[in-house]
Amino acid sequence: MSIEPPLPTEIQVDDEISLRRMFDTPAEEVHALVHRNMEHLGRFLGWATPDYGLEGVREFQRNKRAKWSKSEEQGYSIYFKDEYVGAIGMRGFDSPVQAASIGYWLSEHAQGSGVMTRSVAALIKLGFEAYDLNQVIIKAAPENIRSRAIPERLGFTATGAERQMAKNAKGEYLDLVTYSLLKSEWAG
Amino acid sequence: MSDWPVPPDEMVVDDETRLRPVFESPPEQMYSLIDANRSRLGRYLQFATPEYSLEDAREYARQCRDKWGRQGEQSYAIIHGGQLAGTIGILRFGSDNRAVEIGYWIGVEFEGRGIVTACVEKMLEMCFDRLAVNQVNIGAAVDNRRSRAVAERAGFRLDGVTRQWLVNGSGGLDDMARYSMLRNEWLELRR
Repeated sequence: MSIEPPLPTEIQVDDEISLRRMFDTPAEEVHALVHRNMEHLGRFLGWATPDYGLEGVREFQRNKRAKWSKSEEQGYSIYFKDEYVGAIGMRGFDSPVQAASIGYWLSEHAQGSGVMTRSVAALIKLGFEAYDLNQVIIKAAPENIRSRAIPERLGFTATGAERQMAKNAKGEYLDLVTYSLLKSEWAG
Repeated sequence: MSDWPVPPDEMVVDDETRLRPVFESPPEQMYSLIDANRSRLGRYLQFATPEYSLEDAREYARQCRDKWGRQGEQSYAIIHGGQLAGTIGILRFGSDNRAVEIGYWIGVEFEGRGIVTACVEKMLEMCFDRLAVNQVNIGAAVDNRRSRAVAERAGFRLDGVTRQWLVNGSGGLDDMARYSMLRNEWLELRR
């Protein structure tokens, strides 16, 4: 099974932001940016631990490259003014109820310029227009105010929470607040 | 994945009710129970379409047999007073494989006797005591009062409503009420 239409290899969000397949970013750059943001990311992301290694990044990228256009989950690196600043991914292109979820992280130094809001909006547009999605879902820890601000800004509806459904880098459980946007609610 | 014990093959719920692998019930029995309840089940459950056939029941039994013991998904027949009354299944999910979902349905002639509630309580005991699960989830269509009442009676907490999430027997999408019970809540309830 492959994803139809094929996922774009690059998405030009606007004149400042582009999304490129995450495995096209050199593994060393991914590794360096994650380590520079370890504390920032580790508050809410279980994989952002000090032992996050270069070989693991390479393995992950090889795997995703081999499954490009077949994996129901794919990710992009976010470039802001040509600088690599974070990542965004979507899963569920082929969901039986046409519901995909979007996840993302951004380097601390790139916050405050609307980079993620614009990137998420671009993926939503792609999902609704090219993949006939019925809804897009975003989940974030209740304390992750910046992450939650994105669906809230983009007109998502809060649909409750999932308790203890994620872990942070210390291995502690996190609740997730859930948001969804139906195609019928999407302003385009 | 490998640190997660497999659920048992059979469970005794009470004097009259037990759970056993769904494929041990003849597909003919399963088909006739579903056929007799077709429109009622089809309001909320995807498999209960107008076209549901004996061959579908056979295929389902084959799939359940293949998955059995593989730690992902197990579906039990609810046997009440020696008769096939419905099914209850367990499915693992969650980032650390410590969350499961349970789902169930029962024939109309078996309703109103607390059978499903007793089965859910047995499943909770099995999940928390034997599988070391952290959380058990139940999802039910928002309008499915009887199904929701089972979760509420068993002490689950309503976490929210996922919109347009469940496919029903007519192919329409229903909103799903999401319930969960955490391990510490269960320990508290049982005291």
